[in-house]
Amino acid sequence: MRVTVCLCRQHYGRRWKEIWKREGKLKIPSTDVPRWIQDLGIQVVDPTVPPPVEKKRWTLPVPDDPRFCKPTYPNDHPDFHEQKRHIFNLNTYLLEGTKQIKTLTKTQVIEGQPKPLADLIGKVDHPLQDELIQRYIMQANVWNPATYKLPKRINFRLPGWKYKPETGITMGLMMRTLVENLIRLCDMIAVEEYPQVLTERRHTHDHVTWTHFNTQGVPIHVLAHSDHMISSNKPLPLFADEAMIDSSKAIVLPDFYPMSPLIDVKLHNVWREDTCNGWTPEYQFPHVHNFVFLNNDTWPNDRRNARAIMFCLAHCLTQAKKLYGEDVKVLPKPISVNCTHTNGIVFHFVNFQLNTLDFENQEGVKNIAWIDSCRMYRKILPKRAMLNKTEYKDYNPVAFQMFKARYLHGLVK
Amino acid sequence: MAACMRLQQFAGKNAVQICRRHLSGAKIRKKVRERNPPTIIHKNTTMKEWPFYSATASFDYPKPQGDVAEYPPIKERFPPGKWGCIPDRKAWVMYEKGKDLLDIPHVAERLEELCSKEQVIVYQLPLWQREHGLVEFFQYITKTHLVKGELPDIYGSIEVDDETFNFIKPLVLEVILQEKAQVVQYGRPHQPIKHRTPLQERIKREEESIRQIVNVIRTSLCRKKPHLMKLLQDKKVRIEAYWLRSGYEAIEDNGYFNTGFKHPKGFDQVTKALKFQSSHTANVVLTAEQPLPEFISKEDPLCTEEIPQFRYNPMTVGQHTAPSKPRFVPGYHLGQACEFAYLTINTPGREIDEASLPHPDDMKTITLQAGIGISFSQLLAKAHYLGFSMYHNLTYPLTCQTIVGDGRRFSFFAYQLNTLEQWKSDEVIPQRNICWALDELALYDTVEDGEVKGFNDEVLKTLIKCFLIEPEEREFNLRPYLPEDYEAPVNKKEYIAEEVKHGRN
Amino acid sequence: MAHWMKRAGSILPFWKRTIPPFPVYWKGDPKNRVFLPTFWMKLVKPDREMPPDYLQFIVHKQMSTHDVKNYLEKIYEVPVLRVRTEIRRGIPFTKEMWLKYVRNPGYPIHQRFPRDAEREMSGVINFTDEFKVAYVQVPEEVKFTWPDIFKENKPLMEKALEERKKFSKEQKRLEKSKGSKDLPAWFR
Repeated sequence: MRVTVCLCRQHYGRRWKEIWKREGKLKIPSTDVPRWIQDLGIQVVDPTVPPPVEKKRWTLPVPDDPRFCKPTYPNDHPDFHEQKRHIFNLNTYLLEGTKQIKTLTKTQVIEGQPKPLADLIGKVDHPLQDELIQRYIMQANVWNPATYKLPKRINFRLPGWKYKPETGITMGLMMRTLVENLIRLCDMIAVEEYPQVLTERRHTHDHVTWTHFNTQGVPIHVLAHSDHMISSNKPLPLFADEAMIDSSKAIVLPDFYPMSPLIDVKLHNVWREDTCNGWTPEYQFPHVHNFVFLNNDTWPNDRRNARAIMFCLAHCLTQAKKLYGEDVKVLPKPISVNCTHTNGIVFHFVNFQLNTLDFENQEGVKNIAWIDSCRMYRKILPKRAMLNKTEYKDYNPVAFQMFKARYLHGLVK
Repeated sequence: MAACMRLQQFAGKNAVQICRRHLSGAKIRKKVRERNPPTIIHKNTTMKEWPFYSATASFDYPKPQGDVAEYPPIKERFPPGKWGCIPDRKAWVMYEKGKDLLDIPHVAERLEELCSKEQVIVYQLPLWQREHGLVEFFQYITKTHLVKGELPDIYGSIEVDDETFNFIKPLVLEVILQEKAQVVQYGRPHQPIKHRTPLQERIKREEESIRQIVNVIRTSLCRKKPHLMKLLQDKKVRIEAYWLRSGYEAIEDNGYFNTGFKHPKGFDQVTKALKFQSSHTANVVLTAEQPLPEFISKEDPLCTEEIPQFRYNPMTVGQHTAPSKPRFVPGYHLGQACEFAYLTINTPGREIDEASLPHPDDMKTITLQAGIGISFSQLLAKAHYLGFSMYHNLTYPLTCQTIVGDGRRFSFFAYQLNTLEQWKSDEVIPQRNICWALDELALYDTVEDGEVKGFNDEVLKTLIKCFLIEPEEREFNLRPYLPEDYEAPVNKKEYIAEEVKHGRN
Repeated sequence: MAHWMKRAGSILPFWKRTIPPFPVYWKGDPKNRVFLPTFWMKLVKPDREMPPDYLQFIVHKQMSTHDVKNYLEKIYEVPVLRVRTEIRRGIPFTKEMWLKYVRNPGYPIHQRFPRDAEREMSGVINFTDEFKVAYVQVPEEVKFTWPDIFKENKPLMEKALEERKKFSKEQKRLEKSKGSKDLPAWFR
């Protein structure tokens, strides 16, 4: 083996370092414009700076092309106003409930039912009605073959327990089927003794009214929805006599100082100045007798009652404005209305009588509202199992009696 | 031949069949023992007296007295009943499936057994179809004889009094006018208004007016006809049914660009029939406690009329297959008190836009085929809930009434279901289902200046007649294939236990 | 797409190419009118037995149902009720079939592949292109009967048909003895 070849080999590393030290840096000659050219006054363009590009924004050749339509804003709404106003609708959640609604609407709230309605309970009965109502409950809860996706179940007593996703009958569907059946049954029971049910009364779905009034100098716009509306061509008889109306003068309404009672009523830009009772002016059955709306939410009952009282007031106000003109200040004759709101299990009843239109001060005659409720049956959800194990028990026939009494009020003399 | 049959019996074929049904081991063993008893039985002997067992006690072997070899009786070639083109072995399979089904006491479990847990490839048959000229196809797959232009004789025998008619007519007129009296604000409160499309608005109007008309007629007739009180009414419910239809065994799916399947898709190899699964949502459904009276008797010559032979592959007329579980939904779940069909009303608005149909006669054919399909599939599903099935034929005909209309125009159907044996060939089983259909009639022409013009009294009278027919109580057993201790849901009085004290809340 | 494939469209035969893109339509523009579209339709014998008012076509792949309807109504003045389209997968072919096709382009490579061979997919070298099939429903007044063009000489398919007949005879013989298969041969 020849060792010399390896030993005498040139050391490239050292050599490379030397060269790199000498020539490793790139030396760029200065690109400044020479002075003699500057002196000549020639305009020099810097090549490193890119020339400015004219940006053209693409515009539609046609202004109103449907493929490029923009979303509508609240400003485009026909009822849009610059000034905001308090608005009461289905979503208004009053924290103080009925206590707050007392000062807002100037009402005296009584728990229990008025005397004419208490007399009507058990008056027009059918031997089969309890059996039929039990069937309706089962139909609404169990027998309907609907397969909608149900919301996720939450049980605060079992944190960490995961329920299986389920399909079945939603709460909204359950309420709708039950209430529709109940009203139909009321129709069929009442027809036997009072055939004027068909001629004097009308039944409308998805009814809307809107009005406005001033409470303590602040204008409010009310928009009342109801799922079932039973109206007639005759006004509803009153609940309270004159002695009771006079006695309401003595009642002192709660005060919220320094808070305003309008604290939870939200301000909106979209509102209307007119009033509408939900029908065309030629409609022959404009007198509201009874309206039902469904509570598809998880609110406490007190808040629900507050909402219902406001809706009752709205219906009475529209009726007063229709009868006695738009600018009526003093009410010649009181107006009354019935209301039922339910979540399909518990039925809440509100009866309202409008005595004054003077909402400016808190003294004098007050409006009167009666609040009552009754549970129709008990629905016990299983603790961990799926929903097909739900129990239904404790059927209470009084609930339908009360429901029917509201229906019959105005028919029976 | 006899030798062949005996071989079959010894093969323990029954055991294999029972195992398929996912039963527990003990149950299978018990069933096999019942089906295949030991072939040789020594009389006057038991297991205790078996020689090696008693050997320690004594050496006297018990002599079996009178050795008799008993063979099970020789099987017939075909099981009882008419089987048509189905070969003998498969007929026996079907026969024993039906036998097994009777052992299951509950209807819910029977339905589970019928609707296999696995998905099968079936023809998905929506009952609203935009295809043109499918009436013959629907007639063939439902085995229906169509009587056009008339309703059964029962409708002729019923008369509507002038008093009731004059009472109802102004009410119906007001219902028609009331639609336009309501001021409607669309969308959620205080959000930008969402205007509905004209189609959506029309659908809403149709459904609303039909519901109102039904309510008016039902409440006003309620005093005279107490059965209307007990009807259960529901809206927008599912109607689904699954069935097999014979007659497609000779059709080959041997297209020159298709994969070479011998039979069309969705073909059942055992019964040699095609599988169909219909699906529909009815707008208004009324059900009764007792069945409607039969329109004609089973011996009537109309029941054996000829039906059009539309034996083409359903793929050619635009049907498609998809894997799905068989379902039977007659508009309610098991346990509903009113189990029998009374009346269904269906609006085409949600499914079919009439303006987009190419042919002027399309709407007529579409309503015809929908009327046949809806009434057949709901009766079929209801029959399954009563304990009948494809193995156990109907003992009495089931009937129903169907209305297809959009609030202004109505077409009436009456249907009688005579057989559930569509899966056997038509030559063997001459029974046909019958559908009576009235042509489309307009209740009124237009609404102008707050007045209804061109009101047709005849249509309203037939509408009222539909509600005047009373369901009949029958003397014989309505559920012959269910066990005797089965409690019909009609007889149940209390569904929810009452509280002892009726307190508030 | 690779850059070298960009020109592929011009190499393809004219009837296989994609249609030129339509100009973008803006509101108020005049209607787009194409007078000589590259569309084509081919009337074929139906592969399944169909009701008499149905016709079957093989069409250009980009044709929609509206295109098919307009094509028939405007050019041939045939009234049309409904059109249904579907895309079929290509047909497998063997090397032998391909060679026959290359030598004689009249060979029906688009015809049905032998059923037994397809199950096994033995000898399959490739698939033909996918194609679109249109089923057209016409009113009852329109009647179409297939003309018998090869009345006198039908040499191409004749052999295949004869083979088929032979095969079916054998099959019939087998079917006759099918019922007694489980018996020993002595009893048959």
